[in-house]
Amino acid sequence: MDNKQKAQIRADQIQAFYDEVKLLEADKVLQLANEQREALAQYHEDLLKSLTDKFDIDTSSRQKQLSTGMKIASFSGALALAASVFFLFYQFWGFISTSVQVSILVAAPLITLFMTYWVSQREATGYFAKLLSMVSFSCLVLNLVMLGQIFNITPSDKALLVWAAYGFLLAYAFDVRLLLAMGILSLAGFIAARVGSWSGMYWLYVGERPENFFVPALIIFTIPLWFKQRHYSGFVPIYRVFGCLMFFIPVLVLSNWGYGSYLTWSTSIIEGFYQLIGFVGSAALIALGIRKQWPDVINTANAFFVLFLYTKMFDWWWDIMPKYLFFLVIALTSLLLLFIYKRIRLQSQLSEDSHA
Amino acid sequence: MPRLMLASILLLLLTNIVVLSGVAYNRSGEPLSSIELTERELTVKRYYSRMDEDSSTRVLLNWRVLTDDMESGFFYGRYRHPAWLDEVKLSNLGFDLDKIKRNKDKYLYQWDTHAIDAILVLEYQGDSYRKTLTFAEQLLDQMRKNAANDPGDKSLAKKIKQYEDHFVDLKVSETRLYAIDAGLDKQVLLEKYSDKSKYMLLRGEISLTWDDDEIAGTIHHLYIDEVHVPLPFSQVLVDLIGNDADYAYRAEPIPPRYKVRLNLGKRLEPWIELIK
Repeated sequence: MDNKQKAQIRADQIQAFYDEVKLLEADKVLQLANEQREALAQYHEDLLKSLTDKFDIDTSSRQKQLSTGMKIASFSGALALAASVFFLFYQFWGFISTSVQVSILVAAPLITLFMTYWVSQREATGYFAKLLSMVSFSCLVLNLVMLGQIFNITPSDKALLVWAAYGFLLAYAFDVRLLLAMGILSLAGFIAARVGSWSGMYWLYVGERPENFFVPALIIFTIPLWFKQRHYSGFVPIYRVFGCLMFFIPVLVLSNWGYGSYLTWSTSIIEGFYQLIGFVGSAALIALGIRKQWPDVINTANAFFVLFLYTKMFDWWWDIMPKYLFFLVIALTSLLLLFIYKRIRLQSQLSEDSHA
Repeated sequence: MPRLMLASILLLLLTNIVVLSGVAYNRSGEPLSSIELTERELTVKRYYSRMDEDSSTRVLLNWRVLTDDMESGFFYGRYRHPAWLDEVKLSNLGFDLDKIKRNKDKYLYQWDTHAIDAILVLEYQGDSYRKTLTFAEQLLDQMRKNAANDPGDKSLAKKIKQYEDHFVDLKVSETRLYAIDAGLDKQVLLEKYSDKSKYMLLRGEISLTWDDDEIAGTIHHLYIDEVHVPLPFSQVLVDLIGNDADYAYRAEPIPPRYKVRLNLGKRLEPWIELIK
């Protein structure tokens, strides 16, 4: 067992196994002998103990509910604490000398990094370490932004690369998915800014040409193919979902705003082209997700397929149809999609049965 | 200590070393220029919201360009087409104007991909400022002559009053800093504009727009257009101007209340040496 997610799946399997055994015994399909029951209980107790010691997993539904609450508290606490650090400095930095400002800015990410490490060595759940790592990341953002302001440094996209590197390092060091997302966004911003610069654009205007994000989308989507993430729970879906978002959001924008494209065709052709890309792309990613058993990709592509469809319907029919008819068409389309998904699901079930 | 932790420490230290070395390099040796500006050119930045919690003090660099559009009366401003930024200059800066003209439809909405990083030359109290005053005075004289021929024209009388007020602003409170040239080679520009107390070089972006059927160049922005004021100078500024916001309505233009010695370093990044 090499990561917390897999350990949790195993613990859930054990719980489900006992629930099923209880039902089978009630229906008199299975009767375990006392020795077998005791041996099983002993084995599972030892296994769960070792998994809990190593990964601090939840072994009951009550623990799971509490863990969810802790995750939410840790997430909101991290964001609030990071914002608090930022505004604290903002409120008082005008009253301190330049040398003290620089010392605080340089020391803050380092001190919070050491605190994160220290806490991670003493607290098994990792919630407090994750919270502190988020604060350390925001201290580095503050560090570079404020040094830039204090010394009137020309703004540079290289800051995004540093934030990306630190985000990734902290995410992998302390198993923090939120920081992985921060690292991915910073890296995407840097790559998109460079792509924009090569076409003659000032890097801060990167968002004005959504196509700049296609290159980072491809890179980020494929990172888990080059670097295996076996030891990190839930990292792979984050790469894939962000890769999908960085592809679909620009396509959605360009399918409605052709002026934003690098392409030199007429805007109506560009918009039509990206509408087509949107439908074909989302359908292709749904197919890829089904084939590779990537539920995250299926769900993201699915959501965008529906979004592209409804956007197009709005374009075509909102002005010319009575509202009741428009919403009826939407409802019928949803039903049609349900039938299609049901059929795909059935086919996939049959295919699994035949393999079995 | 795990390797990722060590790599994080190294990244933090290295990043700060690189940034602070850059600052030290910029400020090392003799400044490339050292100009004494005033409140007219460096206005204290104020936020419109009183709820703003930023305790820092910054000054905004006020600059403008002179155009050759004398007839309209709008012959100076930040976002106008400088007279010197003609097609020859744009070509020298690297724009392929022939290609753009040949494909006007193609480039009609794609100006953001036609921008160039350039070094801009700002002149303090130079010919451009003097020309602005001369043109403004000539315009006012012409209007007064017209008014003398048609004394009943009330709208012209009102316009003259506006232009007179504006002329006073030009002489008393508005900036004397004008962008007068641009280039790609720092050394060439430094040799050409060698008076360190009159010229300053700053990095910025030059972009193109259509002016009717002609291509016109414009200074899109300067990369550094506000300067941080450190202690103790920030306190000097606060003591001098108090809560008098720069956007507040004033019946009379206020003459500059402070002088700022602004230095420019090797990386063309400015810093304040003195405020009095």
